Amino acid sequence: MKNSIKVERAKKDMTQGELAEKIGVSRQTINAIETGKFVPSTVLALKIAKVFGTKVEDIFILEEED
Amino acid sequence: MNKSATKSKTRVNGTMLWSFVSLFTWVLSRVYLLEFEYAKTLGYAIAMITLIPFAIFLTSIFKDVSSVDELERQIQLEALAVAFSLTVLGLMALSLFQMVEPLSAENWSFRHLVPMIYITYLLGLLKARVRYGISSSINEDAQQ
Repeated sequence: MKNSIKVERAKKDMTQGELAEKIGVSRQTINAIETGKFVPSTVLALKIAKVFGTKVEDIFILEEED
Repeated sequence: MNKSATKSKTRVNGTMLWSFVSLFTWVLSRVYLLEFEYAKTLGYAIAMITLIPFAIFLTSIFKDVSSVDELERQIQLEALAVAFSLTVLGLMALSLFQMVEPLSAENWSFRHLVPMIYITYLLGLLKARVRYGISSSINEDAQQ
């Protein structure tokens, strides 16, 4: 599964730390999600989408192999 | 780092501290029980006291699971899964070896599984952290 968190962060000029602070996780967790090493829970995905003011499916995109 | 992440990290560090304290206490008790002469009551008392830091360590792990974020929870779960499965493997191997011949307390025996649990837990922790890029992401702090 790929995601556009990095792009959305860049649009809002937001660091990983700031995003982490807003949704109550560690910066390492944001980094692991952003690099595709960790797939977040539905709740966390919804929180991320809420911060960026978009839908979850606009941020997290399923790939062929998923 | 945000407050909840700092709190979680402090708690995890506390768990690591208690794991080392309980291991250290276990080694000390083992050396004393093997090398010195003592009354049976004292021997049992030392054995029971050794369990206290381990019980605190376990309590700390249970508290960790409820306070850390979901990535850390996943890492702890994977570390415990590695430790548990390798310990079961060790138990199976030793119980089969014991059928072949009685195991010597001086060489490989069931009590050697205790340090193995710690070592495999730490190995599992390292493996999971590397898998999720926790160790490699530290240097990226300044860039993010």
